[in-house]
Amino acid sequence: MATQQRQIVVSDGIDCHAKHADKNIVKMMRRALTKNNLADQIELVRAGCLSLCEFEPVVIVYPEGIVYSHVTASDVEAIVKEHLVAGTPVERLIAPENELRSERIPAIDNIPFFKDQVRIALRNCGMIDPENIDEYIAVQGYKALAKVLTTMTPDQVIDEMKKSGLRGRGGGGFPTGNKWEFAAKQDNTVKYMICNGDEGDPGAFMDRSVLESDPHSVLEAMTIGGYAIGSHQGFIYVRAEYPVAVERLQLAIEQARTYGLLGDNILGTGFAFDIDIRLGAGAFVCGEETALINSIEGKRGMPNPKPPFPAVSGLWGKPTVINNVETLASIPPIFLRGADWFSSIGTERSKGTKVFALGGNINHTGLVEVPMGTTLRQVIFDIGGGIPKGKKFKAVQTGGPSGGCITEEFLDTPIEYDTLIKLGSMMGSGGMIIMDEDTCMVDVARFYLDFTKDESCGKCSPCRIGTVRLLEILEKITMGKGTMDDLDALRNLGEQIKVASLCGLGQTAPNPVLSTLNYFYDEYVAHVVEKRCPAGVCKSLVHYEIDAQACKGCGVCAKNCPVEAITGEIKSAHLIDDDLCIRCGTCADVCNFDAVATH
Amino acid sequence: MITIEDLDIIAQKTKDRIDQSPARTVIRIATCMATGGIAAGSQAIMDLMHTRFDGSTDVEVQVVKKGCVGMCRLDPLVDVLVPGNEKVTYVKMDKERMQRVIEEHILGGQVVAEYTLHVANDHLLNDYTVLEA
Repeated sequence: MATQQRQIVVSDGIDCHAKHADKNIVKMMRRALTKNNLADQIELVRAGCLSLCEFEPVVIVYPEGIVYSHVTASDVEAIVKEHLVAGTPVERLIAPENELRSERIPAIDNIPFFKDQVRIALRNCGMIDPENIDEYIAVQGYKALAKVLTTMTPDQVIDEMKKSGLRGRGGGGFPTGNKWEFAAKQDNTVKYMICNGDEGDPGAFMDRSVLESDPHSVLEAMTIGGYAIGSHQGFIYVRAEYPVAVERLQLAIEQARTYGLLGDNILGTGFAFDIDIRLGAGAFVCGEETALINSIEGKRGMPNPKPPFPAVSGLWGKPTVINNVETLASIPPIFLRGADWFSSIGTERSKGTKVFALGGNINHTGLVEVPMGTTLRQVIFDIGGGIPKGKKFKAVQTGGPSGGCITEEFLDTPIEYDTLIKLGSMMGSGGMIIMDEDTCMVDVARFYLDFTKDESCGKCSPCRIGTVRLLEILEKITMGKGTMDDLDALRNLGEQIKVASLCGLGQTAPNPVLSTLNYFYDEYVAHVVEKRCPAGVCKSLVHYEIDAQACKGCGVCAKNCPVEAITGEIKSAHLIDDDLCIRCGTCADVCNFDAVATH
Repeated sequence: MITIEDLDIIAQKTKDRIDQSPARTVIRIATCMATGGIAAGSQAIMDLMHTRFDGSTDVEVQVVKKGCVGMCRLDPLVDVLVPGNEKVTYVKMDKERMQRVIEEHILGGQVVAEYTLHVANDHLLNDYTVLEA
């Protein structure tokens, strides 16, 4: 293929709300290009939603990146003739500057996505080569360790950590300094420092990103922690599903050993500390401290009752500190820039920054790090770019399967450990799944329960049996067979699982159900009483119907129906047999006249 | 085994390598090689550059892996740092596009603007989904 010197991107608003838009612009553009013998030299791309609904149809001409808005059939001709053939952009069709600002940005750091972020844990991610220890050293890597080992006593290190106000980023939010202090106070010659890299929340990938992009910061922080608590051996527990992270960690450990930054006499100070990797098999429950310890010991990954806490009796019965990857990655800057600097960021009770993994119905999926106290609205709309396709925001699920859903009215809540708990959700590891108006909240609760039911280790009955029963009731409701008593049962059962379960998994598993019951009770009632799914998601409750007025009788739907549920004569309105229909939606997809409606 | 003084020496020696500003002295091409980048095909870009800059060219180029900046949907991302110029980030790259960037930008000194971010009213226009070619 010859190099195509130009590219034209056309967005005709076909899948968004720009109802006024002419959907034939692409066809006209293709015809005009062929007519002018340009078809070979120009790549024509029909784009999905550009989120520029009010300007559509939009035609963008590259390489100049000129954006034409509200393009009509006659404009297509002008763009091809004047711009593509003659080489002069059609000024009169370009959206005025104040209406549509369009620009090229060579440096990615200047876009809104990055402008409002404060990067501490992710400070080196994407900046340095993760496989080159020298590059980490060049960004002040291992300097915090050098400072700690040569100028501070273990007690001073712990004081500094407490002063910084850093709280665990893995979900619990326990103050890291206090955790270290408990372990340091134990009179034992053998102690362990563990990095918890068993990131299991669906939709959370910040730990993976840190381990893959900046592994040395985790090694450095673990060594600092080892010095503080009096440990000489660390373990990184990382899931085997993260092969790139495991490979880079292994390489980083070897490099650090070669430089003497791990080993018997670190930086010539006499302090000894080494780190080994332990692979997890990806069980969600192994993110829980005691289950993780059992897994490292070679036992089945199941939790133990606490107390004793790991800081007193952990790995092989020895005092053990377990810190999450993101927590650890935040530690070196605290010692380089001081606890006061760190505690000046964030809010009264939640210090520093938090990384969030944005996913679901949001324009900018990805990882963002913001100061604690930033509002949900800022994260979702300012940084995350809002909801695609001009849809309305419905809810945000924070904290993964352990968290809950938060609605529009609470979007201005500052993000803190305690505020999120008050809203019936939690910080968790920082997954944020954004949901638009087309999401069924009963189905969301069902999805999370399906996950926790699978991941329950089975040791205690409230979690093992309770999550299955919750799921059964939810499935019953989504099938349209629920009763109002079921809603009470959901709430009672959920509350009981919370108080009676052994570990965090069971104690939080009902949260998605309870919070959706709380905020979207109407939706549950619609499923139960009216046998209706307002979002049109629950298959059993959706009915397809052909609008006799709009149907032209072309027969495409009948031809494509996999179960032959559609009948009708050609050129007369067709009919769907609801009993035969399997709700696959094919008829609606293939209909050229938008005649198939769901209700 | 290194000492604390050695840390400073290494940092000093490596400072230019990681310099993201125009003050740097050697060309650096950093490709996102975290999971998101790899999944989007960045290994092919790395392979191409290792073949292209195998030491036989006159131009000195650092071909390095970089981690994740969090913009995984625009992967593979490639940073091109040329001394005397601001950093340029290319998005949604592939082998063919990289070939052009190598010839026109890295060897020719001309930024290939169409592979950089294009933003209109804060919406990234490179981020569209292709419905049909």
